[in-house]
Amino acid sequence: MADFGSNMAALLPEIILVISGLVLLLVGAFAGKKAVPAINLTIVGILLLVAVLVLLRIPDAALSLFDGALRLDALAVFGKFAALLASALGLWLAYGYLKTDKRLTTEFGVLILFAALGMMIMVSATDLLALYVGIEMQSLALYVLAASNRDSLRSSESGLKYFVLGALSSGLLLYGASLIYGFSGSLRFEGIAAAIANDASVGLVVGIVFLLSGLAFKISAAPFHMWTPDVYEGAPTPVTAFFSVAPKIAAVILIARILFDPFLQMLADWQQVVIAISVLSMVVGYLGAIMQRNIKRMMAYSSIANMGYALIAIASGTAGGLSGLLIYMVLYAITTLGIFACILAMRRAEGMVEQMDDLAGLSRSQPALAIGLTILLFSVAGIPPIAGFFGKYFIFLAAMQANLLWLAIFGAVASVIGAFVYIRVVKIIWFDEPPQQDFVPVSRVQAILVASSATLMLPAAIWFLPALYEWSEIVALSLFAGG
Amino acid sequence: MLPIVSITIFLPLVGALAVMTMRKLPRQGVHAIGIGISGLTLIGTIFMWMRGVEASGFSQVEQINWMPSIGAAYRVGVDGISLPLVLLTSLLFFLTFIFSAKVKDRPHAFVVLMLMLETAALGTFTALDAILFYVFFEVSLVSMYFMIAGWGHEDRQRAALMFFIYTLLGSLPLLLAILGLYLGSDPNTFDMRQWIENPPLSGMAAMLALIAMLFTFAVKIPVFPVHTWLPAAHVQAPAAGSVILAGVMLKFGTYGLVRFSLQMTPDAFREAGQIVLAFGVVAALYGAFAALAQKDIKRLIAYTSVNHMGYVVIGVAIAALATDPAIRATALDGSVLQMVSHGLVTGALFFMVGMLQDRTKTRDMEKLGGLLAVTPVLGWSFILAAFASLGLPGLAHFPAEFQIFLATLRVEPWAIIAILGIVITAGLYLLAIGKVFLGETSEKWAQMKDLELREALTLAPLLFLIIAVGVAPFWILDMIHKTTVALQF
Amino acid sequence: MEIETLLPALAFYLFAGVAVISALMVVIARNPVRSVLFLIMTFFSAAALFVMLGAEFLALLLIVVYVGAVAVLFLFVVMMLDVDFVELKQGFAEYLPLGALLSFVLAVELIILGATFRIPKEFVAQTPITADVSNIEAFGRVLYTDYAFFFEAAGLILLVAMIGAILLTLSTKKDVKRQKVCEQVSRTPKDGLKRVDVKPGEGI
Repeated sequence: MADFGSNMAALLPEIILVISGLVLLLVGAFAGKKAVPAINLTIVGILLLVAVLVLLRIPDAALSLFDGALRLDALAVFGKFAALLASALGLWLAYGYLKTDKRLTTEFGVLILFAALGMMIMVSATDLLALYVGIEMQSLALYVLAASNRDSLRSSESGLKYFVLGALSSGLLLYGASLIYGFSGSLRFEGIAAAIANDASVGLVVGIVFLLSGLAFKISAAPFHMWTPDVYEGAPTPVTAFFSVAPKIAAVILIARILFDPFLQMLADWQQVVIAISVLSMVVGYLGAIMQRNIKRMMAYSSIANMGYALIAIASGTAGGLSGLLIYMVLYAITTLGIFACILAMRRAEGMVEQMDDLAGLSRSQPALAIGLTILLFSVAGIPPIAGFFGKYFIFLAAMQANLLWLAIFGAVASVIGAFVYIRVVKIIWFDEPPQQDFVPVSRVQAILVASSATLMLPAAIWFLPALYEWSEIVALSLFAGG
Repeated sequence: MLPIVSITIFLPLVGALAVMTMRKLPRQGVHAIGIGISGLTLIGTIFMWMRGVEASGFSQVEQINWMPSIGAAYRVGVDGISLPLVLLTSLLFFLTFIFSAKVKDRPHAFVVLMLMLETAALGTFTALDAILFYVFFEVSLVSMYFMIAGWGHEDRQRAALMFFIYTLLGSLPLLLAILGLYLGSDPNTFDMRQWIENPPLSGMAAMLALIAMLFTFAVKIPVFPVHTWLPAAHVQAPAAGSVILAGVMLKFGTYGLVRFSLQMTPDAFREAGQIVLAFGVVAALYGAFAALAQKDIKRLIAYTSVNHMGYVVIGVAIAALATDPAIRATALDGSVLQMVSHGLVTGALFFMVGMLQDRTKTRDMEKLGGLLAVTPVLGWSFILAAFASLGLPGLAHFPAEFQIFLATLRVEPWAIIAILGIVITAGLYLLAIGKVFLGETSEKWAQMKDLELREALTLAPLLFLIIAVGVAPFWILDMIHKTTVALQF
Repeated sequence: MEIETLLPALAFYLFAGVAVISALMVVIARNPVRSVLFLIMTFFSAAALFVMLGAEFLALLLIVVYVGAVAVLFLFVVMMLDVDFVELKQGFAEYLPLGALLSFVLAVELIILGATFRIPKEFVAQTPITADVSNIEAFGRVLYTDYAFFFEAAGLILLVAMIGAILLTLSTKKDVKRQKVCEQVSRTPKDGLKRVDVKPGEGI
């Protein structure tokens, strides 16, 4: 076991994040309005810097910190890197958007920074308490961000809704955690694993089910998805973009870690729960998406369905499943960010529009944006050769490896419904009559994000997928070898 | 050696990217690029033909590793089954580009989509890696969706969406089957050659994979009762789209039937052979009867496609059921030749329907009549193609269907009732020719112009080949036979 | 039974029973003020249970923080907001069957859980509370060493909460009356008072 000093040294990226957050908060308080854009850009830079720092400090062997509260292993590094990158890009996107609206504040960036810190704790937590602390830090920042547009009634409503339901889910999670603690006698994953190996009692099953319910809230998987459409629609669009990506990565990795690490021995007990949630999410997500005319609501339902696919990979309970999950989440994150960059570009002279029909004629007014959005939509729909297909492909492969053929079939059928949802938007973009007024030209940030995410999705980035696969496999094997 | 196969596959894609960058280019220039690129592609495939195929296995294989740890790679190559289809594809695309030189609406996008579609089609026939095959298979779907939705007729949006969703749903079982074959192979690989050499699955697993694949290919072929997307898509697609859809994309299904179902799960196919045969017979008869009931001439030809592809299914099923290698080779020869003939004949027919529609703005046979007197060249060309379609000796379909029925008689005589389809198609084509080209010439059509040079250039090679294949099929059959006779399963 | 074991057992059941009953009353009381008072009662009983476990510091903390601060804040809010609780509870009957079903399932689960519960070995092995180390000292020893990470992280959560509260409520609009502490403190009777000579029968 490492001493206190080396523990803190291993947490250097987190510490840098905290200190810069505090300093920038103070700077923001005294420097006045003029410094706000600079501060937000600095935070983007810091997040990127810390992401690189995390990558540079990959430990040779998994490192247990604070007596087993956190673990710095390949999975944690992967999760931290992905979450930080997603946060940085999310903030960058928001920065470009809020600056034009003059609604940018110092606190906006600082809150995203602390949310990212929460995610870093989540992905490395190997202790029920650390897990909870990470989730709360992240969620609390998100609640505030959702309500951050105070002039909008919808934004306040979405913040409140998110907060109340989030608190409820935290309650469920804590209840599950306390049951697990009561029956295993340990908060640490190691201790829990030992207790399960000794005697897997009913209490632990009930505990993990409650814990899963709480976590399902956080990734908005059905039947715990009720808050998602309203919150996605009500929150300011850049905030929606942020929390449809980064927190999802962190929460999914957290679920994978807790289920694959101490609870893998109880696979038979939780597998059916995860499968049920997964199937429901796909059905509710895609069927709900068909009904929507508002593109943000559609994306909300789409994210519910996408979490269903992620849960298929988790249900497999194998190293292949974990590596498929990581690939899927990365591709999902890139695609979603790109799509939200497009949604942010839906701005007419009189303001933002959010209806799908407003996209009509985009192919004539802004062909480049139309092509980018089309590629991204085909990617979430899972049409080859665009990378999104390979995400689904690895998931189905994992399901079949784990003898869950029928789940793979179900996922395949559901993805056809999903394809219908997305192709409908494509149809509007390319073949519907354009309205009187065109969108204002896209900002540089949005253009860069759309272009780079679309390019990554294209087979032009053939190198990207093998690299991602290699990395995810190393991560998966490290968890399974160590756990 | 020059990687001709890869160059040929990706040449259209490069052309598409080039056209995308040249946004200022006028319409004629864009079409000239399209014709030029597809012409070069045609020359490339002719080079492939000259290199020839070896007696067993695949020839001209080109391979680049992609993800070695999961056994996925870029692998392409041809054999006697795929090479004729590759030649057909490049020829039809070349002619389609010539025919479509008149397209004024968004010519850039049109040419880009057609070129992408050509890459996808060539890739589907030459891919030797299952993932690669699937990717090309689906890209063709996306391109065709845009083709129908963008340049189709009245009800194009609905037809395009139906086509897309239908075939996407159809193709997902194939993905699952591919995953199953992958997991069954040892060591795990996506190399189709390995799968063909040692079929990875057996027993129940093989049967499940077969059912999944049969579903996919049945939708694509299409076989009754999953054919319903075809009339809608054909009728609404632009003439160029119809030609490619019927001439090239339907062959994905039959090609897959041979390449995947028959070669990778041979034992399961043998067990299910009777059922597949029955489906083929029903499709052939249903297609013929349904065509009889059509007033819309494009729908009529679409349904005869169902009929002709039904014969291909019969041929493949017979090949699976046959125990004598000679008969099996005969049945497969007939099937592959039938695919090529159908591409030539139906391609020509759809071109001509497109020409008719350009002139008359209608596809309703009741409104036409006596056109032979006004447009003799078009009329006689149509009659020639129609006679080829109904299987007249000396024209392209005859040697193919003859071999299929010959093998059928030797293996499953009951299935010969499918020959009834020929009688019906003969009747319906005579009726159609009577309605459209014979009888009183209406005042409305008196001023109609006969073929332009562009249209004549489009049709001439097809009509020539229809006769060439019909009179002397050996020049193409030899190549097919070389592979089919060596197949081991 | 010995008196040494009987008395603590009696006390435990008394406090536990009171805690459960008053928790129930929090939910079903018609008057919201009473609900809050019952909540305080629950906290007190829980504090008593802590005392029985020998965790006096925790017990006091519970009373000071939860009763002294949180519950009193609740009370203020409940009294100052004009919430129509009758209206809020209108859907109650409608959702009662479903709620009752869920509660029943949960209750059955809990009973099963209770039946299968065995004290894990890890609990027994914990070091017992010794007389020579006070409660606070025991806390301090672990809080700033083993639990330093959680302590710091919890502090940051509170910071985030504070930022959030400020961000969502601080108004920078010009037409809002705001407190100016400096001016209020430096105010003298001279600035605030004005002597006016009012003539009878005229008013100001």
